Amino acid sequence: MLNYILKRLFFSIFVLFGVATIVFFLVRMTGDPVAIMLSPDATQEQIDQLRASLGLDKPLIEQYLIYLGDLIRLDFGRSLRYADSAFTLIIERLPKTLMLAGTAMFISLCVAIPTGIIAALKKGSIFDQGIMALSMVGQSMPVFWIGILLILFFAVDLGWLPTGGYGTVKHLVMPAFALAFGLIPLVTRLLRSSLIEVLETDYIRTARAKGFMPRAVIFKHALKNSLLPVITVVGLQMGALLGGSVVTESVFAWPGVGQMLVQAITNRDFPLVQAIIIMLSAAFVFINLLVDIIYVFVDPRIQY
Amino acid sequence: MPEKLLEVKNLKTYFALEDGGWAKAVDDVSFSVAKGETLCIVGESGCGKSMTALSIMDLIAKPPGKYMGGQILFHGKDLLTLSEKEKSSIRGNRIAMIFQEPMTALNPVKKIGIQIAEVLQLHEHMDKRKAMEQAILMLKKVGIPRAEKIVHEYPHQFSGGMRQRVMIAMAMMCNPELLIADEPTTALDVTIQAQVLDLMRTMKKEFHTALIFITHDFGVVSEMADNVVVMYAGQIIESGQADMLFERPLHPYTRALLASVPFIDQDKEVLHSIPGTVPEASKYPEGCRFAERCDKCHPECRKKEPKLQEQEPGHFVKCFWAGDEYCQ
Repeated sequence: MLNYILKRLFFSIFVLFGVATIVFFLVRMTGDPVAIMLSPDATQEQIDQLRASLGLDKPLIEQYLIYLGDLIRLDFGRSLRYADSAFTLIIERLPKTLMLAGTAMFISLCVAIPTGIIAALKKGSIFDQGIMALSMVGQSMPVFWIGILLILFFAVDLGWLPTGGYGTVKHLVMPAFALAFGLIPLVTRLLRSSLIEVLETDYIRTARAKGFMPRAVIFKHALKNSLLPVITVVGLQMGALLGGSVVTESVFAWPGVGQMLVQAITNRDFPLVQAIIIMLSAAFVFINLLVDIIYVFVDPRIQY
Repeated sequence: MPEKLLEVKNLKTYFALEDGGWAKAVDDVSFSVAKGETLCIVGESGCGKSMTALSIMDLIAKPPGKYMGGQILFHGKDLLTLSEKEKSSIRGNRIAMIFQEPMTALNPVKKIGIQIAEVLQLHEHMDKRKAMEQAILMLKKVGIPRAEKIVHEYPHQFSGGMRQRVMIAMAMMCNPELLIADEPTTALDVTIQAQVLDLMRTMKKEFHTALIFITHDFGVVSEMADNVVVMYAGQIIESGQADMLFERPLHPYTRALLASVPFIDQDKEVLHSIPGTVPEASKYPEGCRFAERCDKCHPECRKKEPKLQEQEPGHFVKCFWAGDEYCQ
């Protein structure tokens, strides 16, 4: 097990190296940051000076090697815009993103697990069909649109919640629900189909033959077995939430990593974009590893 | 006549088809099991043996399954009229069941010990530690070595024979009055089959449990049965005491089945085989359901269905021939 983890961690270095390389060259295709940083009437001398001070005057390969050298020392560079360490900037924002993603995931699971179970138990009933239809609708609505609808209804019309920003629980409600809207149908449908499959297995029949009532069969024998695919997807979604709440954070002006990423791209803040992408990738890789480790505890047949 | 423990009367278990018709998996089946007795239900695949057993346990998926009639009397009480809660208190407790596929019948993500002990926790409200001790004792009884260790292991760490022993241990935990075994040896190697049969006989004796043993193997029947029921196409076509049936099989189907059993002392070049297959439960022919494959088939057999009639005391046959001559 420990060997497996070490091996995975070792290979993840290559993944992150790939990500670092791709993001390095990609951001440099977006244009020249100096062009934004200086006013349009800046002299060529001023431009050259700034470029030299940012290290952008060197040949691309040299810049790349310096960048890799810094990364090895875990130096993510300084933001061009905020003139602060990119790492510090991200660490400041990360808790806010985690809070949003965590709340959204919590809400989703609280709703999706019971509905998934009931839908599976009442397969084919009106309730099940209703849930499935709602899920289709929920899954096909883009998060920015749901966000705007929520703002229109709860902030503008009813005035119950603030339109955006950060600070109180009230600020958290709408962005968290907007994110959860996309997740709930996904987890519900997955759990439902997984549970239906498990409920048809021989060992469920054995559990019934032992005298367990249908509800006890679900909780004692079926649920754990049907959670494997759900854990995979929840893990992947959690990774996606960390970086992918970009849209939600922008719609609700939530000062998280996603929002900072969008701003950094607009500002051509190369070091900050690179640092955010690398850290999000690292989070993704780590969550995937975590999911694989959780498998072992859910299904003893899986061994590394 | 010993006291009847279980009496199945005119049981009809049908399955709804998509075209609106019914598949008659169990069609008007009656038999009874006395205390401590072993009844073997024999027949080819698809003739309704397992469905009869699952009906007794009420483990039929409903829908599409439906009980269209009949009674299943356990100690004189009709199981079909009980509530789910009452039925659950009988299942695994007074009537237990073991299944054909030990490889898939155990929950892969739960420890063996917990799967066995939970039966006691459920029916006898025993605390976990005590139930686990009982589980270990029972595992030793069914011949599993290192039982103290094995309770902490998972099913995938065991062979098929060991898993079937675990299933038997699980079924015997509450000392059931009736054990239903649905082809418990079919999926096992021949040597392991003999061991499991031995074990079942020993357990039966020790716990005075009545046994319904479902099989398609007449070799097993001759070893286990007090009474035999032969099923074909959802119906009983012959029933009686085991020795009676082996000495004087009356139905052409029973005879054909017996003729297709290899005996080591017989010098047969080619084993007998019954031509054709069991008709589908949705498309039973008119008249006798076996007529199509019967070597004694009479034109009358295709028009009229014979009744299950007592040919000699305790020996019932559903055939116009009833032995050698046509006796309408």
